[in-house]
Amino acid sequence: MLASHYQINRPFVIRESFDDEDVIVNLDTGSYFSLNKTGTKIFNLLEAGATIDSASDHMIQTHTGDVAVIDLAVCNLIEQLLTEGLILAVERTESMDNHDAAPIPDDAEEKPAFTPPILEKYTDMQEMLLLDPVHDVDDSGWPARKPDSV
Amino acid sequence: MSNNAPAHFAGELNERFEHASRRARQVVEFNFNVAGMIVRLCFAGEALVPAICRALDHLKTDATDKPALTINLWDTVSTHTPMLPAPFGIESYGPHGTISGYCNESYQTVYDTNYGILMMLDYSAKRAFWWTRDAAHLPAHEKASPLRTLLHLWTRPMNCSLLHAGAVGNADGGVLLVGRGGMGKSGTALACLAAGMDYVSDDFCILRDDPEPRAFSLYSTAKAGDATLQRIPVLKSMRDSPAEFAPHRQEDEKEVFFLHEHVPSRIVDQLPITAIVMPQVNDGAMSMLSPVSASFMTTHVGPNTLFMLPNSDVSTISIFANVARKLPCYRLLVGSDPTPIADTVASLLPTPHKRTELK
Repeated sequence: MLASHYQINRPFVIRESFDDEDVIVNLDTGSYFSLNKTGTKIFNLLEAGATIDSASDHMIQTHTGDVAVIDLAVCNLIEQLLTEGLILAVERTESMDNHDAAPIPDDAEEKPAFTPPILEKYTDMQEMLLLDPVHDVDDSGWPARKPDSV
Repeated sequence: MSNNAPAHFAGELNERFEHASRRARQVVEFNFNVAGMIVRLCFAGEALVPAICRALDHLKTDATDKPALTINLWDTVSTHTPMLPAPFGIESYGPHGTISGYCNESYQTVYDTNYGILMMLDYSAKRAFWWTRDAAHLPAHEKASPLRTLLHLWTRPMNCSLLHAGAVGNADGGVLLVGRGGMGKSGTALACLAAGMDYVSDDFCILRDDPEPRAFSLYSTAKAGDATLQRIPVLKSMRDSPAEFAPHRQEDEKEVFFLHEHVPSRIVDQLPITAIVMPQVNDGAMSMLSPVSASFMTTHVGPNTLFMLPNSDVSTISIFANVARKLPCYRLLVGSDPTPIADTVASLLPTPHKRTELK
């Protein structure tokens, strides 16, 4: 079940925006991601306080394409963002009530075709966060030096 | 545990250092210019001095400005000063040896569980402590890139960042060499050095973006494996005695070269950065350059430094991302012939590079 509102999982999640995509890092899990332009738009809407419905509506109104496809794509991305711990489901707050989503173009304006959001995941850094458990300590309580680490 | 536990521990470490200094009967002090700031190293006795200072010698300064950071260093064996009992249990050790409850905005505490090195940084007092059991058993990497963790934590709140990157170039511009270990940063940096370029680093440097991107030297060392030594034979004349430097070096481990002892004029403390290059070792002889986006570069480089060093935060990646947005970014397929490597990198410099082979 998806909650109504979302916020970035700070301070664990770092996001850097570029013209073509966003780079997102989860410091807690060691995973990092690239998010394409469509995904970035949805992420921005969520960060501004959009609900899943309003984010989906916004994408439908600002793009051409099958409404069901767009709606499903928005839902799927939000689920992915939640699963990866990049956003958190939160209660509605006053600031969210007043969120100002990107303006919706009028019908005369040409709308871009909807392209699916893509969140690409990289996990090759996770091993660097693996704990090296401390088993042995000396008389003062400091970890004993590993025997093969000369 | 009380909130003032880190402050209390820092006070106790300071007492330990003073005790060690009295036992050693001297404090040996040196100032170093690190990214335009004075870092003072205070050693209780001389035992640690050669191992810690050798890779930093090129940054030594006679400047007597107030230090931006003072690091107090001692070991137990030479000073006959036992360490305090650990005030935290084994459950407190996190990734990279960060100590839970002793890391916050004012303090950072890390214990290298592999090599038995305790580090604590006290931001407000602009001081740090560094302790190990025996100066005679420092690992090779600590001699090649000493105090790396402390310097990373120290620069974290500033508008600069310790980055896993090399840098080469000339007075008018430089190329930042980025990428994970084994991708060809060192080989590329050394090929450029051999062609007469200025050298800041092959592995770690400090990146500042204020007002323009600039890379600052930390260590004058370079690491080279057998393949690089074959391609750039002049390095063999700079060979340290392996038995002296790292008695237990594995056969497949890279050799460490203290470059400032052999080519001091080529080792510079900083370079303006005008391009970013990610080398990638290639099977062919020739080297090939292709442009990549700033986002590609940040995706494939930023997390590398973030996760390699303890308690990284947004600043570690944002400074690099800002620099990547400003500068042209390239992927360099590194061939086996060092000449085209250096020529390709030189083609990215704002002014022509006059090739002068090292002898």
